[in-house]
Amino acid sequence: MTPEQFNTIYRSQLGEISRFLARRVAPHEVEDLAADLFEIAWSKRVSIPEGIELPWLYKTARYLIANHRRKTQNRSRIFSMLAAPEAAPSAESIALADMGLGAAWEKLSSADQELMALWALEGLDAKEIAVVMEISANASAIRLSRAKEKLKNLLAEENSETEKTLS
Amino acid sequence: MNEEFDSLKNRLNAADPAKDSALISESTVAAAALSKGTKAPLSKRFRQLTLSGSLLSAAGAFALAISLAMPQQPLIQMAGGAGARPMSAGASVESDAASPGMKMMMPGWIQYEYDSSALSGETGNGQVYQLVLEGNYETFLKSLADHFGVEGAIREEEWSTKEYPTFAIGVPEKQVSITWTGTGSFYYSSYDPNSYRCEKRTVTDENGGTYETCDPIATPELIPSEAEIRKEATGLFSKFGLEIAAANIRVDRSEWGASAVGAVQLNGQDTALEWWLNYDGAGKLSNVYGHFAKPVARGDFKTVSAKDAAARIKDGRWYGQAPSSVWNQFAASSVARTGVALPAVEPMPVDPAPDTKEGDDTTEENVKPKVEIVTLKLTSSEPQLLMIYDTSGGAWLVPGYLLKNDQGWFDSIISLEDGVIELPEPMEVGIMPIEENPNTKQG
Repeated sequence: MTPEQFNTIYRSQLGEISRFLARRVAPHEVEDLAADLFEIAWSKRVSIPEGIELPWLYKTARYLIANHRRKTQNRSRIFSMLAAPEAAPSAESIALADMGLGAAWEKLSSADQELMALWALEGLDAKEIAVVMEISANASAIRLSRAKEKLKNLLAEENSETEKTLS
Repeated sequence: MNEEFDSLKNRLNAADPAKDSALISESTVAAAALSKGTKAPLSKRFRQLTLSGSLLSAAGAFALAISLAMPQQPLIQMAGGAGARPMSAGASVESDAASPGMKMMMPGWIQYEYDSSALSGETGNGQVYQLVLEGNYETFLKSLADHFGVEGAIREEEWSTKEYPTFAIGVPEKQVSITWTGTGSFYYSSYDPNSYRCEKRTVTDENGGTYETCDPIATPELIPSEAEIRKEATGLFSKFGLEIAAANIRVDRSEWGASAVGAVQLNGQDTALEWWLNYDGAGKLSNVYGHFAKPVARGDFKTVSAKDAAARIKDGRWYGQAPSSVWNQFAASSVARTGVALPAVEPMPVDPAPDTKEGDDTTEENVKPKVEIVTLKLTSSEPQLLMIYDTSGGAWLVPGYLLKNDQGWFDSIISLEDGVIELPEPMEVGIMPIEENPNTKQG
C-alpha cells in the first residue's frame, strides 16, 4: 500500500475517529492520540483486513486511550486493577446533556458503557462491535442485548427516584 | 424490539459528548504514512502543553527545591499528568472516567479548599520501592501459556508501542498477554459464550437484520465455593510470584460469577499492586491478572507531615494510587452519596458581572463560569504506600497519606519531601465557557 492509498482509505475515517476520541478524551488530546493511532495503522497496514479498517482503528484506539489514561493518572482509581482497556465515554460527559442518563450510565460497568457507546454513538452492529471488543459475534450480541436491558432498567430506576424526590 | 431500544439510542445520541467536536486535521493521516517513528512519546508532548486560564496554584509555589539532605538528582521523574484532579468531593471527581479530560467534564466549577487544622504536623520517613522487572518476557509468557493450556506463537500486539511493549499467545477467545514495562502485568482471558446456560431468541436489529441471541440463565450451583476460590487463587498467585495468605484474599461471589483479589503487601500493608481472577457464570476461570515486577527497596526518605501533605491536594500532581481495599472502605458511602453528588456537574449559570460596561461583555473575565468554593474538613490521616509511574513507564511504591475528609471520601497524597520526585510540569487547565446552543437561542 502506498502512502497515497493509505491516505485515501484512512482519511475517510477521520470523522468517525475524531468523534470516537472526542467522546473519550479531552479535546486537546484528540489530535495527538489520532496521530499515534494513524502511525500504528500505517505500520500495521499490511495486516489490517480490508473492509474492517474502522473497527480495527476503534479497537486499537481503545488500547491507546487506556494506556494513555494509565500513564497520565497517578492517582487512586478503583478500576485501575482492570487489565482490559477502558475507554468508554465518561458519565460526566454524558451528564452534560442529560443528567438522568449520566447517572444511569455511571452505574453501568466499563465494558457495558463501551458496548452501548459503540452501538449508539459509533453506530456499529453486533458483528462490528465484536471486532472492536475482541470477542465473538455471538458474545457481542448477547452482551449488547444485556447492556441495553440494563441501561433501560437503570433509566427507569432513575426516573422513579426523580419522581419520588419531586413528589 | 427495535422500538423498545430506539428511544434509548436516540437519547444517547442526544447526549453525545462529541456532537460538536472538531474534525482532526486531514494532514494527520498523511503525516502518519510519512512518519519515521521519531515522534516524542505522547506523555512528553502533553507535558509541553499549556492552556490559558489557570485553575491551579501558581507553578512557582511548587518548584522543587533540592535540599542538602536529598540526592543531587531526583530519584523519580514522575509521569506527566494531563491535568490536576483532586479526588476529594463528589461523584463528579471520583469517577473512573473523569480522566484527563477535565474540561470536557466540568461544565461548572467547584473549587475545593481544605481545612487541615485537625491533622498532625509531625514529619517522618518512609521507604521507597521500585518495581523491577527481571528476566525475559518470553519465558514468563510461555509459562503462562503452558499453565493455562494456550497454544500458538508469541506475537506482538497491534497496539504495542515502545512505551508499552505488549505480547500475546493465543486467540481472542483464549489468550495470555504480557506488558513488559511498569509492573510487568500479565493477563489471561478465556471466554466461551457456549458455556452459559441460556434461553435462545431471535432479535431484529435496527437495520432489519436478525440474529440469534441467547439470554443467560444464572447457574449458581456451578460457581465454586468461597473456600475453593481462595484455594485456587492462592495456588495460582503463588505459582506466578505472589505469596499471599488465603485469608488476605478478598472474594466476591454471586450467582453470576465470582472474583478474588489479592494485593502485594509491604510492611503489612496492602499496595495498589493487585492480582485478581474471575470466574464466569458457568464457574469457569475466565480471567487472571497479575504482575511480574518485584518491589526493590531504594532507600529511606524523609516525609512531610499530614498537614503539609494536605497543602499538596490542590496541586494535583502529588496523587498516588491507593489499593482497592482502601477504595472499598469508602465506596459504599460514595454510592449512597451519588444521588446528591452528581448535580455537582450541572452547568452553573454565568452571571453577568454587576459592573459590566456596555461593549465589555466579551472579555475573558466575563465569560468564565462562576466558581463555587466548598471547604472540606480533613478529619484524619493514615500512612499508605502509593503507586506512581515515572516518565519511562516504570512503577514505584512511595510513602503517602490517605487524607480523609468530612464528605466521607479521601485523597491519596505522596508524602515524600520535595526533591525526591521530579514532578511533571504543572498543567494549567482552562475553564471552557459554556456556549449557548444556537438552536435554542432566543430572538
